[in-house]
Amino acid sequence: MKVALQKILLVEDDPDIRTVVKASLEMIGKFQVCACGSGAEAFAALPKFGPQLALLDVMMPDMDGPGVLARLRALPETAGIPVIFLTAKTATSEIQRLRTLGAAGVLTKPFDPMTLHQQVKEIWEGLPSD
Amino acid sequence: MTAEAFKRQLEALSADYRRDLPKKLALIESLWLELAHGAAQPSRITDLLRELHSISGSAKTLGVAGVSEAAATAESFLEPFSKRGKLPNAAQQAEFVRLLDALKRAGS
Repeated sequence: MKVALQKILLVEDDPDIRTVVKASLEMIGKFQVCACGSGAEAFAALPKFGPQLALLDVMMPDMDGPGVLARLRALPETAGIPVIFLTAKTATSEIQRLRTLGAAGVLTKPFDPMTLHQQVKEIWEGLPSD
Repeated sequence: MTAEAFKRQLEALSADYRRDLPKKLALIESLWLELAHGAAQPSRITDLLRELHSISGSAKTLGVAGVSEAAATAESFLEPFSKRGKLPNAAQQAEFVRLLDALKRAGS
């Protein structure tokens, strides 16, 4: 049986979206969320938090979402963390591009804050068990 | 905490967002004017694009759908110029100003 999802790392540079996603996942989804505004902040928080899943914005200054994914994959202790991208670019080609990078899922903005937790949970539950 | 509690928090966040929206739109206009008047390097289109992208991704989520759509339209128009690091020509600038006006109207 698959382990229940509890701990999510959120990396999103937009403070408005970061606040909404964190509140949605915590208050309705009952997940523990470590919300970071940049990739650098996320990698500083990672060892202590130990996320089961990462939810990454795609377009961020400095280190973008694919950059964070690549760095996660390069570190043995984080290489297996599934990643969901959150993107405002909704073209099929862009979503396909993100999937080919190794994303477990791609969620698009704007999103419904009332159902976001369910979308994340469904992607988690669709992943192969450890 | 329940979905009801979250709904109340979302309403509060949406109210904050609407209150701050004029400042975000003013920043976009100011970035554009700097670019259009040659006071900023063409490479700063990236900054303008990022602000538009941010609003297109956040406004509808926070209950201002029209603003999201108008920002997405302006973002799509500007994106090719950002990739080339080059300003739009005069006719294209006029078109972009029209898109920014539509964005401001959606946010007012």
